[in-house]
Amino acid sequence: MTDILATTLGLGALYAASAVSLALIWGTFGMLNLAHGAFITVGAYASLLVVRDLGMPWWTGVFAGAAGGATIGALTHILLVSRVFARPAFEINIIILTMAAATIMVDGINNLIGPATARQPFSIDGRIAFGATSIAWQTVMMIAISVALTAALTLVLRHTALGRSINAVAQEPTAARLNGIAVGRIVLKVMMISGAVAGVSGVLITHGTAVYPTVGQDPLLKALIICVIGGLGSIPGAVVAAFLLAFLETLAQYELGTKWGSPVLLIAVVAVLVLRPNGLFGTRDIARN
Amino acid sequence: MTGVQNALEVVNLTKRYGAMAAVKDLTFHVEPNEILGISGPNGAGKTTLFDVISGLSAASAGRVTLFGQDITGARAEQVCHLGLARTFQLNAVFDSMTVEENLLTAAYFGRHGRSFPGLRFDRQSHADCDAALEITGLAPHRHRPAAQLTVLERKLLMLASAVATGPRLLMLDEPVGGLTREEIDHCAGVIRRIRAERAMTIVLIEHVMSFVTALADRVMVLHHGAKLYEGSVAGMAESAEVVSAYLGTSGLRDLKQAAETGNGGGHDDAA
Amino acid sequence: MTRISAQRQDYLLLAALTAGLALLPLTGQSNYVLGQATLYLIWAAVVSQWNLVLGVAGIMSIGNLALFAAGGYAVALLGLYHGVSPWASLPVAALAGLVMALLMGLATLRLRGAYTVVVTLAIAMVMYQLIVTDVDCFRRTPSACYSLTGGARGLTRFGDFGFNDIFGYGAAAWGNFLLALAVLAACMAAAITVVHSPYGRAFQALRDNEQVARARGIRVEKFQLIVFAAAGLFTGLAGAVYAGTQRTFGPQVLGFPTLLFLLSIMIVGGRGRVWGPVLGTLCLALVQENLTSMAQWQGTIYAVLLILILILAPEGLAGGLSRLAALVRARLKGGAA
Repeated sequence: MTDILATTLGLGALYAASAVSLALIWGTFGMLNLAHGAFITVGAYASLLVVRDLGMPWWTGVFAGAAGGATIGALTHILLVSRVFARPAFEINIIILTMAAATIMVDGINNLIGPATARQPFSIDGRIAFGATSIAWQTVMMIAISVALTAALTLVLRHTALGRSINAVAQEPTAARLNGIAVGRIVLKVMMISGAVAGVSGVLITHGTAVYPTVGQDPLLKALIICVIGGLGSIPGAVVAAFLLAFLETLAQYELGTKWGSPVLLIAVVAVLVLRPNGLFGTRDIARN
Repeated sequence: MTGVQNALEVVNLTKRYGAMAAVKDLTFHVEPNEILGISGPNGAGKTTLFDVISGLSAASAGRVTLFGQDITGARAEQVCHLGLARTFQLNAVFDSMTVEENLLTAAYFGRHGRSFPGLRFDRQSHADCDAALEITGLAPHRHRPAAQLTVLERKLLMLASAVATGPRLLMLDEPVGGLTREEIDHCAGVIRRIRAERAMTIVLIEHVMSFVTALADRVMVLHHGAKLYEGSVAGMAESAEVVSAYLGTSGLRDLKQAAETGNGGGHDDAA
Repeated sequence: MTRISAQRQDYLLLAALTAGLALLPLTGQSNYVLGQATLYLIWAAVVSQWNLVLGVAGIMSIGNLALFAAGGYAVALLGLYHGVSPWASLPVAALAGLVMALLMGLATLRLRGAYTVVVTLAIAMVMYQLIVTDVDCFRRTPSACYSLTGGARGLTRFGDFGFNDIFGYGAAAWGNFLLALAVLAACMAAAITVVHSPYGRAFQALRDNEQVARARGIRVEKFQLIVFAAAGLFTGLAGAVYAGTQRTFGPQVLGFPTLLFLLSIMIVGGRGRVWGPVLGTLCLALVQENLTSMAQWQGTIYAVLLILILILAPEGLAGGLSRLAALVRARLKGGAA
């Protein structure tokens, strides 16, 4: 049982870190970013290249991941999002466009860096004792970074001028524009923040393990599930759902076998949506007049 | 009760969204071939009331009867088949279709339930479509895509598509909002014609008071989901509550002006 | 002036196109060309049905390849374990596609937009992951051990349509081609019939405005299921033809590259347009066959094409062509007057 709990904790932290950035733009702009997995991959590779190829210290990887993610987020905004934002069929179009963007990014990594699997150098050794049991420093660090990321994101959204503008744009893009908010610039900032967080989560997800071009695909699926269960765009909801699903997945792997982890989650999300079309914590029934 | 069956009867209707009641314990009726105008400030629950009556959202409590038939809890498509057709505040039509296709679709699916739709539109639907085109004056625009119509033409198309379903009761949500003076008069003419030729009962939501006074036999004013006033158009100006909650002094002036110039249009046709 | 209805025009065009393509094997094309053409015909058939769901009815399903896989695996499994010929499996495959489609339709019945994307994607991914991780020994040969679904490697040696046995050696290539053509023709005939019928209008209505559709008497849920069911039937059939002509079937069809390829076909051809899938396939086939030297950038090329068309010409090739036709018609009319 302690095994399950320890695994849940580590996995949950990872999932939370990778899901909050998806939740951020889904919640604010109603934009489902299917390039999220590619953002994660780009972050992981940025860390790999900076540490392995440029010989920087291992801990700079996390900043490289953030920078890589932010860059790719900005590019996605300039080339794609800004072309269709607040236009008809935005919801559908952006899904299709980001799916295409993901293909380009993965293709690019495959062809320019190579399809070979590499080891993510971002890692530390050793364990810390907790009474009878012990936890790897690795896990502690992961949890710490995840918590810091999520907390920082929440703080920015709740207590800064940027956060207030983001909320204004989220609620009513047209009204925000009329009130003199440069909507395009806000969306760009959100895309960069989201990209940076996704990039860091890419470094965390691959820490001490393998990096390969499609490494972001599985985290994308998990993040989708978490966001849906946590309620669209709710960052606290995403965090809760991340730990809930990490527990469910770990349990399924222990009880049913490793291969059942992902399918159980996918089946869970389908079941949740069939029974509660607006997510576990979501509501959409709003009075009109 | 007089023994004459009412076209629409709404009894103790309530619609809650969480803690907020958008419609509160509302009771009213509409007589056959009558035009009832519904007014009230924004957020008064007018559109919510339409949504509940037309089956698009479920009532929290209360009962709705259409020509003696209980339609509480019926789905929107069933309500439509029972003879209630509504329009929408936003100029909602099927944008990817032509005017004719819009009306054929409304006529085919709106008149009665189609358990097994055919592969072609039947003769009746074509006839309903042509009649709706004729009565709204949209016939020249038959083959134009709906997305390319002007605001007035879209309003008329919405009206036509409601009429094409062969209803007994029409519910119009702000049929002339955003139109010019002349366009409003044109719409009023079309609505009068529909009422006269089809023996139609009509409920309409509208802020444009001159339009309401010209058409409505009776007026109901909603405020915070409850009835603030119900009665004659003339009596509305007399009600201190209506004036303070909704009309204001400038609205009152407009209303009086409208009553002097265009009063009684609806009554004349009904006679 | 006699005016041919748009529906009749579409049927005539389809008949002419099918007849023309049926002559292709007589022009002495190599087996490679016929083989590639067979594949493109199958993909066009799949997209013609997906387009009904996503393009015409506006249901954001991106899991339609699960329907294709259901049909393909039906043929492969029946052939491998029960020796059933792909011909006999065709109806089973169509049924498998239908069942899968109804499942997907029911799961997404109350969902909209991005939620539909998540659930349909999840269903396809469950299928993919269960197949890929399926390594338990099911069938043992002296040299190796095979899992039930063949795992990531897929299934082979489950038989084919046997054109070589019927018409003699060398007939497989054109036999397969004609079969795929027949399936595409059937899919397109169905799509044409549907879009011009009350069904098509109902699908359009639920894409354009669901509330209005309900208020005009359209039972939205029913038509959502109908469009999924129709797509399931034909997509399952296409999956069966793929399995029987390619003589192999694996989970790759459920992967992102296939999904993106088909999505590009739909967008480039023109989303929601009945001829879009055919035009899109033609376009992407030309691109693919002419850029074989850049095979490793294939996905990127499709993606860039998709992005450009979606942003610059969202109506796609079919939309552009119909606009051009209208222009020419207007010009001719003007000249006659």
